[in-house]
Amino acid sequence: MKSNILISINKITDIDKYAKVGINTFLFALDGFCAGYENTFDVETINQYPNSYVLINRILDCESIDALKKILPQLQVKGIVYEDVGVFNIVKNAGYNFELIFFQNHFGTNKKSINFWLKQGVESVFVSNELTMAEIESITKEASKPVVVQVLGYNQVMYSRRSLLSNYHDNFQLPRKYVGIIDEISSHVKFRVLENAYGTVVFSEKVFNGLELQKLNNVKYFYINTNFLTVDEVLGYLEGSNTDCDQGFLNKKTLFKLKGGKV
Amino acid sequence: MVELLAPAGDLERLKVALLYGADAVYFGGQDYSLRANALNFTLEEIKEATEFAHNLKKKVYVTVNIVFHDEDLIGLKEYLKHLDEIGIDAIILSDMVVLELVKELGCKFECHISTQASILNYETAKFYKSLGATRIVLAREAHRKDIKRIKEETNMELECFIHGAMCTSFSGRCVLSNYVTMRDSNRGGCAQVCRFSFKFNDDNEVFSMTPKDLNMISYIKEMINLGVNSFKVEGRMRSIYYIATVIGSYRKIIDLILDNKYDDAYTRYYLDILNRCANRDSTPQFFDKMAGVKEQYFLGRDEVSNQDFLGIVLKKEKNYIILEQRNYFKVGDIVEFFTPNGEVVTFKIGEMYDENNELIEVARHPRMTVKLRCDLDLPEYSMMRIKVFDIEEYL
Repeated sequence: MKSNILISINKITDIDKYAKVGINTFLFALDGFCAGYENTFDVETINQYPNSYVLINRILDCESIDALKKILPQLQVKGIVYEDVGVFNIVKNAGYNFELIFFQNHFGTNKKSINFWLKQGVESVFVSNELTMAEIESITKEASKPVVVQVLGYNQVMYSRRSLLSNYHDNFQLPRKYVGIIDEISSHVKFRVLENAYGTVVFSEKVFNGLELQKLNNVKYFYINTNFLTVDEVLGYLEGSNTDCDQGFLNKKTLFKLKGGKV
Repeated sequence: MVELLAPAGDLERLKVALLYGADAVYFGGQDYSLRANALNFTLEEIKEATEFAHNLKKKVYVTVNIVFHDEDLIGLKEYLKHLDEIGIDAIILSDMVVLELVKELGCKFECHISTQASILNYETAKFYKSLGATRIVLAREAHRKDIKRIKEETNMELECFIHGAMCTSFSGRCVLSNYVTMRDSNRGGCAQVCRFSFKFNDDNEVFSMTPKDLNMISYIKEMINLGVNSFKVEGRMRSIYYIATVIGSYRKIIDLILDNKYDDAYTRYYLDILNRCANRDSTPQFFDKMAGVKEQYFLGRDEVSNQDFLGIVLKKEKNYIILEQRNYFKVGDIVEFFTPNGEVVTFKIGEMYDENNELIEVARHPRMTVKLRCDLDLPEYSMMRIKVFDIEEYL
């Protein structure tokens, strides 16, 4: 079962611990090209793991696209997990052999769109985690190639270019903090927030546990985002001993129209 | 091509926007649009809107910009066919399932890629161009350097937001609403949770993510020179007064620039007009720098409204105008009319009557019909507001 887990890496020393339980496919957030990941890694470090994937999840401006073009030839990895469509365009036109996995948060929500990207030559596509269990199952059944399904970790909720934490601290002349919890005053729904030089990412307060999705077929990888989690905590979830989590929207359907009957 | 593009939440707003100088309007149908709880347009209304716009030699763009779940795909094909039969000019989309269907159906309208696609670089733009998109709506985070480079590298039609509300996040990269209200933000249910108040850790201060609005009136000339083709105003749920004021102001500035009659004085004047009309502070946001502390609010919602909008002209009858009241005014007040033609005329309220033809001193009832003695030749949809600024003082 663990052979097709893709796991993000927080610390290089975590790798051996994951390998011991049979998790061998790693995702490294690339220095300068990621938002919302606690630790990022340089090319030299990542290249020591040629069977791994590199994460490029920023929305890239022109200057960053130019910088990326200089870095891509140096990468010696299996593939790239990316959010900005520009990455796909560069790799396709330059003829690189990287496996491309499209991870556009919140946009992998229907089978036809996912199949559209697969038809373009993408190796796989992340299915969004704002979907119900039934919706995810339906997509995996009808995807033309195996997809990636997120099964564990804090769910990404928002990505802003703004330095929301720095701005707040600067405005009130408080010492800057780049990570913390925000609590919506009326509902008391809480979120984790992480800021780096490239923006601010908001995550769910609770760990999303969708490990039961591992029963699905036609899945290339089951993704574990280890942000804010230790190895022991991750292994605890995998073994079922850690139960401090929720199931996100797997059993809850969102609505979007308050009138007119479409729910 | 330089186009002023206005939002239209319903047919009345659409007419006001076009009459006040918009070259094109955008709006949503009953389904598949990101303002699911706006009135939006039925197919009949889309037809009427299209005919109205085309008679004025102007264009209509329909937003089909939700991020689809499988269940939402039902009926999409038929809807696109209907839009094509009506003869709309373009759709604005972000989900590639829509683009693929448009191609499959051979629709005649153009496809514009929505700001939901968060395009900030030329490689992404080239990809959408290769798919047949004729225009891209750039991310609101675009800096002047990005706009210039994307234009140079792609020569695509570029559409940029110039006025109105901002998302805290990159458009589409936010599901806060899903978590707090169970309303799906990317299917039109956004509850604007980013404008709610939060606490950060155990701090005593209010943590706010609320951005100020966007206002690009000072940069229109530069944007034209950078190659921006379409200047887009946000606000499908805004009032007709707001639409008339904002569209009228930008129309004037664009025309002055294109006619080589532009002077900074006009920008200063219209900036004051726009700031007075808005209910939030505004800034150029990301165009000239990285948006920072000054581009946000920190005390939760901080919105103010005024009572400047006094009435709308319904018709002219001999030496009188028939006006629908929107805010309190009285005999002796100095007001001004602004018209769809761009004229601004100062006026002193004199003799006026209510619906029963009774002489009145004060118009105090919302939406009451007022007959006002006035020799000015004011077309329908002219608006009356409190006079605050005078262009002569700026020139």
